[in-house]
Amino acid sequence: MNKIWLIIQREYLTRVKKRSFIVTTLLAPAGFALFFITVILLSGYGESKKRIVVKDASGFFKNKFTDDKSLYFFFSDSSLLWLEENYKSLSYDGILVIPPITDLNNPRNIQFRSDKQLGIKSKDYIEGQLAKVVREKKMEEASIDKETLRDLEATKVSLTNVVFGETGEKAGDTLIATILGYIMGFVIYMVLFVYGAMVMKGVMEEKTNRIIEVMASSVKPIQLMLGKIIGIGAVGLTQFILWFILIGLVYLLLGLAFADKLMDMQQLAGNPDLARTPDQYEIAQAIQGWENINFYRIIFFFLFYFFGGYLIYGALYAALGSAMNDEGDSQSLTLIVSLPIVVSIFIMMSAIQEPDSNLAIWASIFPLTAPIVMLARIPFEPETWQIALSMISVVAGFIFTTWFAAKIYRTGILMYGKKITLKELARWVWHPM
Amino acid sequence: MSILSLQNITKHFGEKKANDNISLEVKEHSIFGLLGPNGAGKTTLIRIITSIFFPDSGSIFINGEPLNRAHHEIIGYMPEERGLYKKMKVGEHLIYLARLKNLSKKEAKSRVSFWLEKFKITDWYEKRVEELSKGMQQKVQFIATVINDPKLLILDEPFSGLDPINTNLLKDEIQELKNKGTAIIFSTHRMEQVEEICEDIALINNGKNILNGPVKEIKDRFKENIFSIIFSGELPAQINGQLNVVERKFNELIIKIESGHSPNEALKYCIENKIEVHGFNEILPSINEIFIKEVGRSNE
Repeated sequence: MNKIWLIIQREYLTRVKKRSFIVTTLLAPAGFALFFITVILLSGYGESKKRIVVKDASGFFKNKFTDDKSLYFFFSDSSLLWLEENYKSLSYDGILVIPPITDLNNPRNIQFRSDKQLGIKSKDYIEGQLAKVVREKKMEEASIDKETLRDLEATKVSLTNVVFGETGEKAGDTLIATILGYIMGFVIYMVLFVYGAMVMKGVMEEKTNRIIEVMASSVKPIQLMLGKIIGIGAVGLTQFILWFILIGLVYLLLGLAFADKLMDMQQLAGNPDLARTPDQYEIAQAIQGWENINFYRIIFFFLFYFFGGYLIYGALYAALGSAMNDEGDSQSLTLIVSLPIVVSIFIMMSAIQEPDSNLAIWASIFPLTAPIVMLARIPFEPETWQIALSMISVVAGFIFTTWFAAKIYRTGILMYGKKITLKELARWVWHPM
Repeated sequence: MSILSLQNITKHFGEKKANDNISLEVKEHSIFGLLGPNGAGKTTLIRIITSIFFPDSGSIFINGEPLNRAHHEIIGYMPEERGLYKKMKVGEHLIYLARLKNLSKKEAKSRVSFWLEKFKITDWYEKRVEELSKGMQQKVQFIATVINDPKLLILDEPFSGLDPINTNLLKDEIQELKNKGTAIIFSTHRMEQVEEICEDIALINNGKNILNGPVKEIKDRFKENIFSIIFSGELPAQINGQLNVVERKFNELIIKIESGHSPNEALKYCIENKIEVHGFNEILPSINEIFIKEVGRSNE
């Protein structure tokens, strides 16, 4: 045990001290900050203000436009020719030319004239304003008042999914469960690939730089293998914890910097009924659903499947690494281990659509697919027996793959210069050296 | 008493017999040469002694006890294929390997300092392994092998890649360790080194132990009664009829004494015929000659 601990320490410390570890650990929160700032800026902060002079030939639209934070409308009776010559010196950004409307159902030849392109958001806004005025006119003609129309438009039905069980009822939210399921499934997918490859590379390096024989005379091969797998797993966990803390800090700091924006959202989350539009209502409900999630439960299962999945695949990748002589070698062998991971992600996508389908249930119990598929199903609260069976199967899977991989590993690490076939690997399992 | 005793060790890899019924004894306080051509089965045998492989049949005893994991602490092994973690610093690397041999951190540190000082390389402590030359890495490797003060030291081609100065340095260390009581198994195909430092040898070919015993005894066993006579002056013309001259040089005669005759008769002939003898020596076969002869014979 003491020797495994020494190996874990070495594997861990040499990796976390590497520059590449520090860089990747800092890059993710930096990326998050960039994303966050971009989103906030795109939502209106960085927009330039535009002054638009409106030449409304019929006067039909006069003073009926509402200014936006970045768009200001000014109606003018001057001639179009004069406006085209002088709009710049009057600090306008363009001229909105509206000919007399002959057909309310099909207003034509409305132009925005300027030497600059009109942004898509501004174009949408202007079209919206034009449509609003036309619509009001049509309503007037159809004798519908504004109140009636608002009532009609506000008809939005939202289905609240109430999950009932021993702990009582609570509002479940399919959207949140889907998002969480996807995120967790993909994170585990990445973990298996990135850290699995790291284990494989580590074993291969030990083999090719020939330290393995020195090590093998002091420690049992299984100690060496487990020490490496656990050490690298700890590196992964450290990186995740650091990301969690750093992204949390970034969120907090950016939250303070953009407090007013976030405040609106939070007030709304507290009371979705305050929402002014149906979309806002949905977002507010989603945020409320987020708050209803039992994060302790999620974190527990995340850690369980993180370790379970990693240990299962770590052992398999270690066995592969031990059988290889260089990276180009045995691509087909790598595929055998990578395939169940890729298949898991496809099953996961279908499981999120139909969390209680037979495929989803059995894939979340089979040890090679369980880490990704079951974790993605966890936010949908699968039945307890399924979770229990899945967890037992993952533990059993880990024990089996470690036993199996250790057999291959102990022979593979000392085999040089020979291309290894599947048949040979099988022989190592049954007839170790 | 034997520190290591191998009894009827057999090991197969598929159809191939890497070790075939090998038995041998390594005495305490001795240097034992494990010889054999490439692919003879030496490394497999060493890997069995170091528990990297398990034999298909046969027994291994260390100090009379069946080999077990605890014996690892008294065995030091320097494989021919040497490697170190390239990115690690020399000091931390040696401490790591020492601790894997169950030394405490404090003990490991103090022994690392002792050996670095002994080899006058204390300034390597903070250097990364990748900054060292191959020969320098080999010295580090040697320290790693002896750091736990092993009672049985196994060195597989320890001098390959070393310059003459470092070869001598290592030879002196090996002798010193032997004098302190370490038994050393020295695996090589460099025969002049075997004659120089080994007391006992075993010759392995095609997985079989084809010859083993003390170097002196083996040489005696293979001697062909060839003698060298160093002389001055003229030789009698009829000498060829009297002595079986194998080779004649400027002032040296190489003769073969046929069975049933004694070297004294040759010496008597020289004195009676007024040949001035300056030297009279038996020429024993070199281990190299025995090696080539025996390997050739066993391959027939």
